[in-house]
Amino acid sequence: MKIEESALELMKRYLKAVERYLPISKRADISREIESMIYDICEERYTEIEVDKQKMESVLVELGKPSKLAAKYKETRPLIGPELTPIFKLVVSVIVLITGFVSLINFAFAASSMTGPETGLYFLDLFGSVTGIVGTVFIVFYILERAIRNKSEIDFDDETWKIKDLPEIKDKTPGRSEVIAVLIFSVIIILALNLFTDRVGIYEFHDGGYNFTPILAADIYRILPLFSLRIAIGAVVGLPFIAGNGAVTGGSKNYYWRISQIGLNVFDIGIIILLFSRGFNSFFLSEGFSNAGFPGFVPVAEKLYVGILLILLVRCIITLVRNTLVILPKGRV
Amino acid sequence: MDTEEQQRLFKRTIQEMRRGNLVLAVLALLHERKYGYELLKEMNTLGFGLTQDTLYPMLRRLDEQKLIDSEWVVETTRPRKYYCINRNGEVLLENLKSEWKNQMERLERVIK
Repeated sequence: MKIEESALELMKRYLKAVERYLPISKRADISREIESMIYDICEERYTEIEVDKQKMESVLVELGKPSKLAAKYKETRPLIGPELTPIFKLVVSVIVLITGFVSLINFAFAASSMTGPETGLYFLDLFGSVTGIVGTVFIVFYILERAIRNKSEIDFDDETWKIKDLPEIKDKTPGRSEVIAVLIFSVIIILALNLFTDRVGIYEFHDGGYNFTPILAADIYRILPLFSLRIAIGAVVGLPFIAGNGAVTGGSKNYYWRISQIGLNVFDIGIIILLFSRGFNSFFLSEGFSNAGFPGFVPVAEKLYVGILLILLVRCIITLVRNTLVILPKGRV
Repeated sequence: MDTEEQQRLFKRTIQEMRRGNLVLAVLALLHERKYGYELLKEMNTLGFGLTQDTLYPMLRRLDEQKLIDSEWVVETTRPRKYYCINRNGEVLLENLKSEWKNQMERLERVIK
């Protein structure tokens, strides 16, 4: 049996659509099961002839609406069903982003007058507010879910589903120029880090010349090799022959890429913990800011330093958990 | 109640009856290792009128309940997931068979 490229792409789009409604931990394996099932159906029906886009379309229409198929893999219906989940995620993301952005600006203005415990309380309050808002949104969507549940047969009606509604697959395979650009950019960053770090500071121009006040402390040079190594490894594992060709279903092609990403996540968490433990003053010269006439900036910068590291740490942990969950369930063939 | 409503009710009742028996049938047919589509065809040849979107999620549930074992096997060009009943499944199957016979006897007495 042969399958045309256009038919294969259609199948991948269908699988991607189904995956959106599946739990992360089971997504890859269920997607492979469905892919295998589609191959079996095609093999039985079109043994002697090539499967074109039209034939694949008829098979997919028979399998039904992606959200409906995904829902069959769930033992119990979730509190918020597959129809509302994308909207719920969008609303929560927008709220968290706006709240985070506004709070960060607010914090930047207020930080200079805050003591350490006040800063802690500020972030605790922020966490409480965000949790409260997300909880309220969840309750609203839960009520909506209850309201539409009786109409679920209508929502799941296959007639409302069209092949053209399937999401497009973005080609994740970087082109040659993109790969070269990434490599060159990485080399430039590594060179800049190692050759020009001593030139980072505050420049005051006057009378045709300038005064330079360094703001980076000596310890920054001890951590530079770690940064350089991280950038180099990140660029290398992103190369197509290592990362795979962007397999849609999380199959064998990008398994090693996932493993390497987990390694990088752990590496990043290590660096962040190191930055945390050494503190702002190990890497920045407070007197540099004072000498340059910005003494009030130091307490703000100290708190921003902690805030940014906290955000990066949370992001790294989330990515680590996601990457681990994808490869954990059944491994690969 | 009009004929259409009666038909709808009949179909729903039949579906419920089948749903209860499917686990028994699937476990019984998985004494030999089979892949999903192979099992589906076999069951439909036997007249179960099953669709892919019912059987595949059920196989996954049975797998998660540790009643069957599953294994991805690469055949020629692509992988297939094979399923086979295990010791836990065998025990459940024997209990289900016995219960099925009891139910049949009771029903026979009732509907005579």
